[in-house]
Amino acid sequence: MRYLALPLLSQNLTESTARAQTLSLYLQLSLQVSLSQRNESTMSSSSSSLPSCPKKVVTLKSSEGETFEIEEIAALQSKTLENMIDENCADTPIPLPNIKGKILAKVVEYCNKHAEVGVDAESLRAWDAEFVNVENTTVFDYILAANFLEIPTLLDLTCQSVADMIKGKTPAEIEKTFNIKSAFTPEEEEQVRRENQWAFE
Amino acid sequence: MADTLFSTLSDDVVLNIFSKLEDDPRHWARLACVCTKFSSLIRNVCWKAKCCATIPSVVADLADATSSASSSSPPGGWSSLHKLAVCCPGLLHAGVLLENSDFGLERELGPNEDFSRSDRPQPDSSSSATAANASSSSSSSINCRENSVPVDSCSWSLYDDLYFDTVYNTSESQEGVQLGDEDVAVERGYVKVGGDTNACKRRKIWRSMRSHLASGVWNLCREQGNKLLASRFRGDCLYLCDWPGCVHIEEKRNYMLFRGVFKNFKRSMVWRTINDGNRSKIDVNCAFCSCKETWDLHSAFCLRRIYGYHDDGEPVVRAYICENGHVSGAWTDLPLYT
Repeated sequence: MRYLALPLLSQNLTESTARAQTLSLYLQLSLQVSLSQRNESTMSSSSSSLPSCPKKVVTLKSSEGETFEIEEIAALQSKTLENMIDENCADTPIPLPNIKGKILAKVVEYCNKHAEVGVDAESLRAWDAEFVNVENTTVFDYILAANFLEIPTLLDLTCQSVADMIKGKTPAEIEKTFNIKSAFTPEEEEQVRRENQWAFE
Repeated sequence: MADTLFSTLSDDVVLNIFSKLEDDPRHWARLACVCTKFSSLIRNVCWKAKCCATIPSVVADLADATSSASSSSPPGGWSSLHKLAVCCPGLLHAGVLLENSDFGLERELGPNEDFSRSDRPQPDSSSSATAANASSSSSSSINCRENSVPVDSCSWSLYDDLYFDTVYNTSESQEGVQLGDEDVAVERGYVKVGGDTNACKRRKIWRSMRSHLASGVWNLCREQGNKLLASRFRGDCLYLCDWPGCVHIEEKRNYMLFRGVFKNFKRSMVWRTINDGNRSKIDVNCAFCSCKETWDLHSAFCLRRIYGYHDDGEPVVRAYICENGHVSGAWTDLPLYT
């Protein structure tokens, strides 16, 4: 029977700090439980209480052959990687030929950040905002990577940032920002403009 | 051709991005103007999904009506239906700007022959265009326009504001979009010869004249339609937007602009009445499809009888319908003393 050693409320600790500590301990514990369940066969002791057991890492290989390591916990945010881990294909480096090293590094960083415990929502949101505060081409690379690796949170974040770029822009500005060629014939262009004139009022 | 960022994305990712722009209908409308791929995605997927989510009963009804046709889209396409749900036709398309001081008789019966026109230049034959009655009634309006200083004292009229604002001040129109059809429609006959219009007042009211995003709830329902039509048309199914629609506060009175669509218009009693009565069309474009002319439901006696006229000749409620069954119109408050 395992039980948590709860932090005592002393005069030096505020209630919220204590709550955060409790939560943090709880999360670590549940992570450990899930880890130990996953690695039953490999772990020597299943009754270790708090983070002292070795963390499993997954190796990813970018299109240029560069390798990146990511903790399994963090990797689970990607459905693609999760499937591979489940099927025990994650022991060797996983090749990702359509993701460049530069992008893969950032994706790993994202997953690591989002797997961290004890980060409050506000600062995570600020971190996310900073993460997508990059050039358009990079954001689109993130989208492609998130789509391929099936990371719903990253996909949402990056798609939202593109959507925010589109808001408030006229069609001409959208074409310019994203380098889009309209391909309308003059008649089609006129017709579609007329139909949607109301959106410009 | 330079690489476009969006060309690397699959359709479902693009739709994911578009789904984050769902809250304001103007975003999708602007995106539809960007390129053919966006336009087709928005028409065929986004607008369709939005209509099915917000007005499922209307969609189901219209789909029933066109089940014999090969396509399952409503008349005018998903873009028209979506536009009906969210877009106010504006004073222009709701016929509010039409001349009404004669209770609409000129449109019905033709121009008053007694009116002396010897001091006015004759209109070009090209300007009296399509429908016979409509053009003869509008030719007198063109006379007014072509006279820079009218002989009888027409002070500044609403029309003049519009004319100068929309034609001469094109630099002020957004992104240089040509006003095109709207221009022609305005030139053709929206004259309010009223001595009460103050010459010094040049309100910039042209924006609310054309169709724009409607205020209020974006929904169409049948109950409103029943309130509009005369009792013998109760069998017809007309979907109208929720009351009070998009409210426009104008000088003389407030207009509650509405829009709607008939189910199976060509098989309705209203259509039969209009067709059998050989009603002439009015030069009011449909705001929701490419129809250039519409029929006036009020003068065709399709609206309920209790809706009469105000003292100055304006109908209490007016409605115009196009070939595809799209309805645009305006309520006003019933006069207190009749």
